[in-house]
Amino acid sequence: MSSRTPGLAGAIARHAVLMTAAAVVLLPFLWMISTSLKPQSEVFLSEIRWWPHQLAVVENYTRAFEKAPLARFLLNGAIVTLSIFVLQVLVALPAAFALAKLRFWGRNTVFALVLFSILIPPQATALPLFLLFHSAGLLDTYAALIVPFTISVFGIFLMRQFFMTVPDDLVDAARMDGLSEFAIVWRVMLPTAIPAVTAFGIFSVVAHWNDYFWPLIAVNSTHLFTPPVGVAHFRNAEAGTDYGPLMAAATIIIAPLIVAFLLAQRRFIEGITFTGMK
Amino acid sequence: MADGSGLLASPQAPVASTPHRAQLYMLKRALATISLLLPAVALMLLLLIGPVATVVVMSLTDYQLGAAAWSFVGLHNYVELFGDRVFWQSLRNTLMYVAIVVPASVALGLGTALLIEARSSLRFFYRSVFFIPVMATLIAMAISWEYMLHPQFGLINLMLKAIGLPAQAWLSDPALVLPTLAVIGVWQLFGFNMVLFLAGLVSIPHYLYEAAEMDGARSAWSRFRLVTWPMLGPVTMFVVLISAIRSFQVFDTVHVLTKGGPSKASEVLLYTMYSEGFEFFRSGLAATIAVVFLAFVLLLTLVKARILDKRVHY
Amino acid sequence: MAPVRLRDIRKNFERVEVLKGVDLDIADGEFVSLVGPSGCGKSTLLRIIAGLESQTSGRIEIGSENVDGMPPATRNLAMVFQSYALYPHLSVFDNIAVPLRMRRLSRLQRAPLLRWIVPGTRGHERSIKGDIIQVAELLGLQDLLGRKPAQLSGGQRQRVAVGRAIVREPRAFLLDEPLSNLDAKLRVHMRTEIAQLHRRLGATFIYVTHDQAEAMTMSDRIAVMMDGNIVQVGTPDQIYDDPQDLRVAEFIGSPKINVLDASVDADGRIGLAGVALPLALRRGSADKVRIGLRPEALRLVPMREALIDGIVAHRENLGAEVLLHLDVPASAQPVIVRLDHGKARTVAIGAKVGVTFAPETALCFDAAGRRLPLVETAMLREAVHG
Repeated sequence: MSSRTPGLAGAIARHAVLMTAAAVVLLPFLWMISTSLKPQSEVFLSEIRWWPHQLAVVENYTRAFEKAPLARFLLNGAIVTLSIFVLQVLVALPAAFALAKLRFWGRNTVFALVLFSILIPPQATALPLFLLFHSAGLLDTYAALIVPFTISVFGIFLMRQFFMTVPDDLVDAARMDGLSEFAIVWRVMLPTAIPAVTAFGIFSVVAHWNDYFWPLIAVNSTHLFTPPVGVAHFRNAEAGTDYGPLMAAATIIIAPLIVAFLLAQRRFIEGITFTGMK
Repeated sequence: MADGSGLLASPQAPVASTPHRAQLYMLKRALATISLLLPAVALMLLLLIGPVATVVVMSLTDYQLGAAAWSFVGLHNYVELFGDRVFWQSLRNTLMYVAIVVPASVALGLGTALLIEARSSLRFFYRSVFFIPVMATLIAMAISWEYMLHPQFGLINLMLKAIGLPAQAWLSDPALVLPTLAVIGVWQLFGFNMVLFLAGLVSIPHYLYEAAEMDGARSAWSRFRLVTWPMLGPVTMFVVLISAIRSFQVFDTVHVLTKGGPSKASEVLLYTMYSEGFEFFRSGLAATIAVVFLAFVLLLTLVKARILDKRVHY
Repeated sequence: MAPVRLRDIRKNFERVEVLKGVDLDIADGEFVSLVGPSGCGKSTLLRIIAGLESQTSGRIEIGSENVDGMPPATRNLAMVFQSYALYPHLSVFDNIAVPLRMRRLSRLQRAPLLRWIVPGTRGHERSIKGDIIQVAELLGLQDLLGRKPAQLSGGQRQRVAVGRAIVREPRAFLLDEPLSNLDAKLRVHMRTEIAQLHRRLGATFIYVTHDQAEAMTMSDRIAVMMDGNIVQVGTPDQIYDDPQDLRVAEFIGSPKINVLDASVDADGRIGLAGVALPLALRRGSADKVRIGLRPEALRLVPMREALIDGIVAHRENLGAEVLLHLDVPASAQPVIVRLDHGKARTVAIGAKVGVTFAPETALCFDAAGRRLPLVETAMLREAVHG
């Protein structure tokens, strides 16, 4: 759809609508940041004030870090999401390769299992997994946060689709050169699949960074909280009084992903939606 | 030159070794294939398929976490559940939530996508802005929303008062709480839908619009009806189903903002499952709810898979 | 270099029999083409020789070593694929180096980063570099060593694929339709290059193609495959002049050989649309035959000398030669006559012309397509000896 409606009027109308929408969409962010700059006295006002008369940036942010181990939460987020991603790749890539390039008895069955598993929403398995980890004594550990997600059937599906576009000749040439099947996966398939793996990585990291349901169940020690659980805990502790530091904490929690997103917007959007088109 | 031609040229080279060597090679290949698949298959069974089967079985027991013994109770849990007023309220709320979020987020997603694609200026900016809520940790943003929705000092009510409208108790009024949560849900979701629609729009070939023009379709609306909407059919179906599945899984905002209140006005399926399973530890009952939840989501996902398969395109 | 022997190779995929008992002997240093239409099994046979597929039954010997069950890497063969199969993330240098590194370096010496600390790696890498430069110079790739495959043209990629094969010093080279992805002009040029490469290296080449011109121009011998069997093996001249099966005669040679249905009388004399031909079979061999006549074996003659007459339906002027398409009563397909440049200037479309041929150029096949030997008749003797 190119410029059909009369030039300037159409352009202005479009911007008017989109800008308004953008403002509405950004409202929670802007208000959050604005509040994180306000001292206690300016938080509960009967008028709308965007920019505080008194800046309390330093106080709010330092209090935020004092009240809860925010840095720890962020670190946990990084540790957990990166571990999950690495393990997902280690598990998914070989399986995807086998499903895409090898002929073996039972291949259709395994793929059917993968397809079926994709249908399963994560929350449905929470209960048994909780019990499993409980009986293994692994609740309230990093393992509890990481292990359930090491199998990404979606990742297997995605990588299989991608591997199927790699020419069979390349795999044959590698075999003739003497590479073992494992070597083929890591030295031949992986390098050609970097874009797909990156897209999947972004999808995985964002999804697990923002995951609330499972970490809420799996851990209850503060030092293990991931960002969402951490900031919820912060709020519960604050219970509606100290909004300044609370907003500061919220800002800090969302900052890493937002910054990363702003730096690599195209990649993020591709990653989350291209993979989202299962 | 290592051509190995001299190696086994001796007449003693037993012909019988050949089938053995072939079989050994086949065995090695089989082992390699198995070890490629084993971690994935094992984890799938342990962490996904096993638990699903377990949940179904659990729903047929009276298991309670920490209890010494448990027994099969058949469909007793289901009977109890379907007789529970709270369950029906929860289900109703969830369906209402889905009924609000899906049309709104799909329409907004489509609308913004169409507007963005209409001209080329600032596309990148708009796309990114609308996508940010998708990425931002919902819990953190929910806290910001909570403050914004504060009855006295929240931004929303202050703005309403500024234009002469009455303030509302968005999260504590039973009639308003679910729609309010739905608005937050739409805010978080529509950017994702927008990007999917953008991808769909971009893939519509230009010559279809030119053909429509030749056929007399002049206005934007007729072009939309003749070309855009039909070509977006599969994408729209996909977006609707994805939105439905996602909104069915609503939990975060409820747990943080309302805890299902006031008076179960915002009680949703997953929240009920969570409180039964992890606050009251009535695992059997929670499993029953999980099965109901699973059934709905499976239905939606299967419909999505079928529709995508069936859709033949030009 | 080594001779290759195939004995009764059979291959089944699911329930389909793709190879139905193939026997072939390839001499050391020979250039043999496996040629045939799509689906005849030639690529499958090549992959079985390579070890990428295993045969359902049958033996393969390379040198005098039986290689059944040996993984591809240990058979010491090199393969050039139709799509070149170059590692896209590696430079030309590294692409060619892969087989050498796999062979000469241990696991540890190949481990990324770590390898440079391991003793012996540098020495091997130096010798590897030397070998690669040698091959690169042979193929004219010296200046391209730093580039990635995506930055190369089709012809260049092909040479890299060949280089990767040469550097392994294999017992034989297997080439799977390597020229199919090149444009026509480049293909003709590469045919010469490959033939020259073969002479230079003196190596055994097994070449698979569906293009009969490639097979004819490059091979020492051709094996024509149809439907999972080798129908005929011979030198290009033998295959062309003496096909043992109608399918071979039709597949080899461009334009396609003319095939006419003929009848045989009780004495074995052959007649075409009522006209007796100076050809005969042994009495009782068959009563219905098909006569094959190459376009260049036919020449225009006045109607009274003609053995076959027809109406000119179409004329293709190729410059150096002219192809006349004749509508002939004895055949549903037009008969194609090849004439030298300028010979058919006066022949108009729609004109009635007469055509004849020398008896010894005719090929006779029975109804099943098998070649039948022709015997001399008095007429024949007369025609030949006058």
